[in-house]
Amino acid sequence: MSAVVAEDVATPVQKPSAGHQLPAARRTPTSYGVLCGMTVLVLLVLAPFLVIVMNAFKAPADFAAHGPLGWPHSLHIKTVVNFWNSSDFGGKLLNSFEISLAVAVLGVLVSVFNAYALGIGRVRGRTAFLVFFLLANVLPQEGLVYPLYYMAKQVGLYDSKWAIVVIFTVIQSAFGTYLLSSVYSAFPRELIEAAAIDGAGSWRTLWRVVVPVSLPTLSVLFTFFFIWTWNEFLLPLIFLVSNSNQTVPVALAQLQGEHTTDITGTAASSLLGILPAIVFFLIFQRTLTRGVAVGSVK
Amino acid sequence: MSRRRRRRNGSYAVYLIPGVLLCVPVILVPVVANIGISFTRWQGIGRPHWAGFANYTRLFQDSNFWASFRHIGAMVIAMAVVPTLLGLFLAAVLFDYVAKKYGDRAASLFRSGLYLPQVLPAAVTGIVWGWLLAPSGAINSVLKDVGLSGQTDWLGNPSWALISVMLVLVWVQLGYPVVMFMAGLQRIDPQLYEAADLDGASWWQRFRHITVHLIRPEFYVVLVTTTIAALKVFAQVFVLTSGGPGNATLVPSYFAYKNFFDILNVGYGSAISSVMTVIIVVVGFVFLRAQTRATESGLS
Amino acid sequence: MGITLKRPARARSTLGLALTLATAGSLALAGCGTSSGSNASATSAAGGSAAAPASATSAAASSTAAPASAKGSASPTSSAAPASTQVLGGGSGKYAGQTLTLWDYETADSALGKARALAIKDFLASHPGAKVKYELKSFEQINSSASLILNSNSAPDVMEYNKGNATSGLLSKQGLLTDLGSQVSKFGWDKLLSPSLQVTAKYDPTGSMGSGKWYGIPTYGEFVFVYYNKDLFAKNNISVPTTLADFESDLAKLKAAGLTPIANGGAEYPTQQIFYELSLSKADRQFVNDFQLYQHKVNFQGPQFTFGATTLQDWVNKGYIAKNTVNLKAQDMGNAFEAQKNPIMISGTWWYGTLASEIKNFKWGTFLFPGNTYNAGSSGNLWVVPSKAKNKDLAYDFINITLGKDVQTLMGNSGGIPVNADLSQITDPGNKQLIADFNTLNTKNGLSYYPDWPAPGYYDVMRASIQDLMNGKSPSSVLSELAKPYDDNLANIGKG
Repeated sequence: MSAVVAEDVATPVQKPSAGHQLPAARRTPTSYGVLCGMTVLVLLVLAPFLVIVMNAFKAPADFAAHGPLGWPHSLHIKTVVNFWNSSDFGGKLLNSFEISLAVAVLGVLVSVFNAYALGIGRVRGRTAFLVFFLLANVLPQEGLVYPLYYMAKQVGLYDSKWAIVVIFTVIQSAFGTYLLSSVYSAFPRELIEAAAIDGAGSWRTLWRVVVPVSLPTLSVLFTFFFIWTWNEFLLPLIFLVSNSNQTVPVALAQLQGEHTTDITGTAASSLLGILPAIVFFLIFQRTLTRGVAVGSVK
Repeated sequence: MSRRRRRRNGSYAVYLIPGVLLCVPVILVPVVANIGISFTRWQGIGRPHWAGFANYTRLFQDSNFWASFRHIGAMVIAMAVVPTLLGLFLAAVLFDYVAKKYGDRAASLFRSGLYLPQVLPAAVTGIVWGWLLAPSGAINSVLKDVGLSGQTDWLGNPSWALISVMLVLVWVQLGYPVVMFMAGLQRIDPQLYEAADLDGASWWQRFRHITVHLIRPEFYVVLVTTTIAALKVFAQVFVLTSGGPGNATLVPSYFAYKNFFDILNVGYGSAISSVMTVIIVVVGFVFLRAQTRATESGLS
Repeated sequence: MGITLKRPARARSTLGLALTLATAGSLALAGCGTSSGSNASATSAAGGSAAAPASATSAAASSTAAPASAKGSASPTSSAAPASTQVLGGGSGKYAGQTLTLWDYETADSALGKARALAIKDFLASHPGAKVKYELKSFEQINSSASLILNSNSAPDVMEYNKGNATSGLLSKQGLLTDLGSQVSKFGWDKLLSPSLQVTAKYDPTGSMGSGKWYGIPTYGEFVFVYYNKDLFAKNNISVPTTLADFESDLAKLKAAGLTPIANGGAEYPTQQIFYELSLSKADRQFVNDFQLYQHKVNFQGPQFTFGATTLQDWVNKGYIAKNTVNLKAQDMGNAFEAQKNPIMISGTWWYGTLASEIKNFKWGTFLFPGNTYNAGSSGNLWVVPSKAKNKDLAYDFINITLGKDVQTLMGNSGGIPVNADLSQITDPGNKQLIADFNTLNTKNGLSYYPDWPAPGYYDVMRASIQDLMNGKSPSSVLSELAKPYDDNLANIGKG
């Protein structure tokens, strides 16, 4: 059984996907039931977002009079526009985008290298290495702050976006290393050996065989790293002191005062803040499905 | 043989260099520093004062801290167990049922919908769910409409608060396993499913024997990472209830945060996070061992 | 109430709207990303200045205009919301090349924000050539990392910071704040600030407030009092109460009329402050000084706190305060008052400006907590000058300007509580009342600080205990929960 499984797990697939060829005729009352059930579930999951959208376009006085769950009486875009202008939101978006993209790219790269050595290379002491890398994922982030603060000050990276990029590359790649090592340890040996027989070194094997075949997992990592980094709050809050370096979630915190909260402003700004992440996910989730086809070309 | 293998391994070890070089300053040094600081009285600035085991003695007597540990089990259920199992089921339904009957587009649309809560910043999650769970909020209105009392104070009543928080955490977490498992399922040869189909296997049999079996790497990764996340969680809990009512939803990580950044009792905060780290490492190690064993038995 | 999820058709159409918006947003973002990508590197290469050149020039232009007259009628914030990062001033003059870096966490439309904007304007007028680099910070950022920032080269020249032992007191103890003593006597600030306002400006070497060196300068006051809905009071034939007994009979009347009288948010400071106000109704100055300044040991089971806890629980049981507010936030309390769900809100003066601008459909007013000589309240937040500030002299000048008559008068006219305003220039009767109430309290030495101040982390202890009280735990056991961390802290700082 096992040998067969191992082979099946990652054998490049000949067909793009399982879905398309099946005739619609196989739709049954049960299948419509499942579809309805799914639809209801997803709509329930999305309902809170509707509440956010509703309040983002509500005038503060309207909110004050009718609460969060009433429909807006008029479309009030001033809150959104005001927040955009006053917080230099374009700048924050750019900061968040730069940081998240850099972390996603570097994080995937480091994860691939680590996992290649641990999962496929099976270097000695791989469990120890894995635990070592996993520490980054395990340690409560609060515990990192003070030591990293003093180191960043030493090397002049306090109040610099690079500090955040480096820190999150490590934290995210800890997860990536773990996931990829698990996936790579089930990687079909025959493919590696075939490449070796063709005379490919480990570098070429990595880029020509391993990376293409594991592309779906890599796109998952890439997407996750981007979105996780986008949403990080504590470390950016502490390490990015200047307003000009700040990221989107940190900017949102400006609406939470000492005694009061600007609620409609928060709804508007959070809508602005999550849209890019949502769009990013929607774009990249297509590659989650497409990745297999790319892998199978090889 | 062994010589050849060693040479091969040596060449692979080169790939670890960037990771190790980055990990040492960003993780290893802080971990060691953290342990060092935990033996001092320090307010984050200036010279720490040696305090011996004082912080640990205090920690082991801190009844609030240990009381909050009881809630960890609830967090693990809400953030790890339920999302992983439910996510596995939903991923299989989407991949092996919806996608087949209605196409990949439908399946990925559902997947996006389930994933969206992951994108929302914790602060906003707290505000929105606060509205929905408020005494006069949406949930109570719906309950009233279907003929129930709709009077429950979901977050203010000590017997409901923890359950409500758990519900929100399931909502937050669910999309992550779904995306992970669906990505894992992409690796599986569809012929396996077709063969099983021809053998007359039911959906449930395919789910148990093919799906669950083949995405075991992802399954373990999801279980381990969500469990770790559950042990560390506090942002979502804090924005929903601030740990209340009373101490009904207090979680340990909140103490660390509070001591690090609010009270500036950095020595004590370090002791808390060191203890938490040890606990999480132990839990992680147990899982890793189980995973290795399961993988080996699966392969042999 | 409200429209909920029961209308799927409409819900779906709004969802469609959301998706359309998402798509539109993505296109806009894509455009932004590509067009501004190159700009960004250009700006950062030019030295990483925060302000776009355009905003700097326009601001400079506005600063050359004549400084606002003492009448303070011209609001410096004109139309659109101003940016949270601004570089203003510059050019030639005696102060050319010098930049004052200024941070606070007061939004532009608040009384304090308006006062700050005018102060910047005045500062630029009296310091030709100087620049002001202003950044609006989030309370959370300053609250969680002030000591880290002030210990680095990113420290500003002058910054708003919270008053109290746990905040300014701690930073002063860590040596991160400049001793302002010589400036106080040079500018005569001590003559503008009453003794009870000075309490929160001075800290001793252990970081305890009330005596020692000047580490911060307050420019306004704040206190807790009662907001009420005039329309609902009139409708139920209720006049403003002057004693606690009157107040309680009014609460009973309102309850009998089917209203829940008092708005509340149990998860944050509001209920704690109601508890404190009730306790203070039985208190004298010595009790306040014992509790807040550690002059003598406090008996938590004594008459003051026992009355506070018992009465609060009684009010909850009688339905004067809804039990299901136990997990609501302060903002929920404000919203409930604004939505006329509750005719009374017992809270701080920091709500005044918001309510004034957002309440359009009913009349409201304020009164001091009936019968209380002592009320929660203190100076407002402080201007502090970090030890690592680079332009301390500019910082001192700026602080002095914020205490000037024109800035203070504008603050008073915008719903703040100035400490040095020209009272004849305060036009709105509500604002006048607010300032008069504060001055009454201040001259009677009635400012009693806040219940969570005496020990680090006490806010959480208070929150949990008061929530337990609301949910029915006995007052005496709640009070012993409050006593323990308080006494632990006393032992900790060597005053037990």
